[in-house]
Amino acid sequence: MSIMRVRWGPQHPVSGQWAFWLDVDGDIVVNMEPDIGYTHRGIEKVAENRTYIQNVPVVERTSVFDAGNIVFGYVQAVEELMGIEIPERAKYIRTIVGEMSRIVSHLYGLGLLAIAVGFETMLMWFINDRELFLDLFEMLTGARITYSFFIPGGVLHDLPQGFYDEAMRRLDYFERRLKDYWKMFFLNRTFITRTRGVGVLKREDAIRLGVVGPNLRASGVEADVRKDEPYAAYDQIDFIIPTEKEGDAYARGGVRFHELEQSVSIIRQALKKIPDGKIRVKVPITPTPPKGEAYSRVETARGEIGYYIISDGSNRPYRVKISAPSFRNLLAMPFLSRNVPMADIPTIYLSLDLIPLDVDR
Amino acid sequence: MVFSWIVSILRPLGMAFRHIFKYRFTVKYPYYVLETSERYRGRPVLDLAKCVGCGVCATICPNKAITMVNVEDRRYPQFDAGRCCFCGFCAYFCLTSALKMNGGYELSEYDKSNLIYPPEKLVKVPPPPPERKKVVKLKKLSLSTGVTHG
Amino acid sequence: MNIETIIESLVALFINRPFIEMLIKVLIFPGLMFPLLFVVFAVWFERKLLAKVHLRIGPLHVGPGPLGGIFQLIADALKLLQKEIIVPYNAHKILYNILPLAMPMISLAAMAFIPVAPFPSVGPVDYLVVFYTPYNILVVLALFAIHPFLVIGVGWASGSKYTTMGALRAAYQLLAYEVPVMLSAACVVMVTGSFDLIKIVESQANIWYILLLPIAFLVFFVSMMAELGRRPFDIPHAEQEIVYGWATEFTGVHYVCVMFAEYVNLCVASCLVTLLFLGGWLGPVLPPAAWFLIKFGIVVVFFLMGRGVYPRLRIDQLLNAGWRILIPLALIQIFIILVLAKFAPWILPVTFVGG
Ligand code: SF4
Ligand code: SF4
Repeated sequence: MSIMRVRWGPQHPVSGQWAFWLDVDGDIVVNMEPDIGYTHRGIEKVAENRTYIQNVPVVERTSVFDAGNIVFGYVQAVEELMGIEIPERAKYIRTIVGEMSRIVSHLYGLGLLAIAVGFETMLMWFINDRELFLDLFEMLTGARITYSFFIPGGVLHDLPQGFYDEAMRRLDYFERRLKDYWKMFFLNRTFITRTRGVGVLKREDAIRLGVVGPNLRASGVEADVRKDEPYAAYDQIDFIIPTEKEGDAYARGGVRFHELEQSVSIIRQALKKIPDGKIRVKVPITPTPPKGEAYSRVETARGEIGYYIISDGSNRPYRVKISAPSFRNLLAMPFLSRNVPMADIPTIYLSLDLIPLDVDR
Repeated sequence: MVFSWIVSILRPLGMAFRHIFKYRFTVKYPYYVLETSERYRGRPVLDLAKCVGCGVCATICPNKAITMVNVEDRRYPQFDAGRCCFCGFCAYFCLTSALKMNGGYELSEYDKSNLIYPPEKLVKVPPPPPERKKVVKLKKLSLSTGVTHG
Repeated sequence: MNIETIIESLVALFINRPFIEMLIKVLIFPGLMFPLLFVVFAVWFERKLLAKVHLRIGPLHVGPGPLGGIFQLIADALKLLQKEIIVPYNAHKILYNILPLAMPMISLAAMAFIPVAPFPSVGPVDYLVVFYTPYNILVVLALFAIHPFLVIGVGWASGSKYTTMGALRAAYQLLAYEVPVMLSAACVVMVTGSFDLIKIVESQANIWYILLLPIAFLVFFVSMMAELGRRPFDIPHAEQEIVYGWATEFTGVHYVCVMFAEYVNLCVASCLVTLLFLGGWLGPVLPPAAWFLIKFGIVVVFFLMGRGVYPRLRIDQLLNAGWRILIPLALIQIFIILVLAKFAPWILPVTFVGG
């Protein structure tokens, strides 16, 4: 049979806001080309026309699933430009927000992986328990999804009254719920059959393709910016980086799952250890950093995000370059989807946790 | 080996049946309303007596949702809900706390021009949910029965 | 001949017991009304059950109180029937229009051969079955086996890439799973020594076949699930991969027919499982029809639950499961029956012919 070219997306149940060109031979995909750009919003260009603080909500839109960690890198870069050191307490609050954001994002990502194999229950349970953390976010920042909580110089608000108790209550519940998840989903024979050995990314290939984040760690590379180059309060907190050796879709899901457990423990420690003090240093409403450039990287839920900001001494950045994690992970997608059954395409795509928003910016 | 296979197939079935009887997070929205937190960022509300017309809110707004307009030879902010991203910066940076974020989030209108809130309209606090809507909040979290709202 | 004699003869023709019994059988139970009501109820029940498993609430409106959503299917069907029929540019016009309409007819035809309970009467025992033949299990399975060809035809006639792929997948899956269905049904037929569903049920008076032939039950249930294309096995639809498989292009009345046929098939399969393995209408105290409906309901719940508990398999894994696990299991069951017939014939309900 000759090779058939199928357009997989953007109007397709799971393709998201982009398309893949699939060359299909029967049920086997022989070649795949991503067709990106459907959600290009020109965030980098928009950022050049706003002041440093106004940029926070803009940059956040790079990937709203993980709004906490995405801004993290931006504000750090701006602080580096301005040469300011933020108070200890602000660092802890940032750590807490970052980890909660990671949990929220991983729950969503794992749910999508489940959807790829046709397992709606998993998505629904995860979305249900995501609510626990969205409520906490609402308490702390006032918003459920787009927090705009970090600004250059610190954070907007202090922890509210009763936050500690409420957070501990929810974390306890969530931690016990995680055991349910492991039994229901990761020990489910059908789920194992469907994801084990699918989209195997070997260690060398992962490094060569420049894959980042949980996908890299699932291939056995212990790389995490939180450990390698600790920022915020991560150097004072005790946690491990979960890794897996197999590098298949199940391992990628497993790494995310274990990161959930680690995040819970990080939030607990940070809440216990948090020092008193100020939460913000005074920064003018329109900060004007001196001429110069800064680079900052943080570990988001999907991997390392890098911000490169050039200042020309005015109150707007001269250039903001975002190197987004999904864009780096995207390179693995055509590599992995060669000579695989059509049915594995969604599994590979969503086990890499690719988000079109993040790729296009 | 065979035993673990059978367990891994049957256990999820049992767990799914158990979950049928659990309470859930869903709140039947039009009839029940989830209580918003104190910091909830809905529509900003202006206090005319406090506002000094400095224009900081208009300067900081990332989306130019706030413009300064003249009302009887004083300058007050005018708010466009269609442009707002509810970042809360205007309220945060307002020097006199004249502008405050309010919990009201039911802002949809049939007419686009109604989305623009001139100062006189921005002063009004969004009405609380009507009587027929019950305001609930998450009360109990338990592994055996699930989540209870009350 | 005056008017009165005409009326009298008409009354004699229509108001008599056999005619009314026939009407009840054909129109109400198990005839037309039963599958229709079943479809309405099953769709609602599936939505509600899955919502509960998913920790959602499920449909609330269009229906009274806790039955919220039960009339939604009727509203949907009415809406869909009004819709324009869109025939794709590449489609084979005639087949595209005819085959989906044929699907529910064939499913309903299978329903006509299934006896569901003895008729509650004083005279000689009569059965609630539209059309009785002593070979009804063969007829039902044969009508069931027509479906794959309709599916393949429909997928090809739609002339779209996704429908073609869905049809090819359906061809693999449905044809592969015919074999275990037949083999496991053959176990029951061997033990009973009859192709008659009524005899099969009555021979279960002492012990249900689910206890006597557990492996055959397992094989039959799983492969029926695959035949129906319910989740773990809904590969021909697989909306994450090929949109909606062979039914992607259907709109309006075609879509209604296809969905209706799927749920009537579910009804037929649940009836078969109940009759072959769960003792049909046998049971104490309650009337036989009630027993049948209870068992039938439980089987339906298990058919529907698959969607909430398991992800979908891949086509190669599915075929492996069919050829490498289910068929050998069915053969093992046949072997066990033969051994039993040789060494412990008192276990089997009827004297084994070859024993
Ligand atoms: S609302 Fe606040 S920031 Fe805005 S003009 Fe009035 S005083 Fe200034
Ligand atoms: S909330 Fe943000 S976007 Fe909305 S008016 Fe205030 S500053 Fe502007």
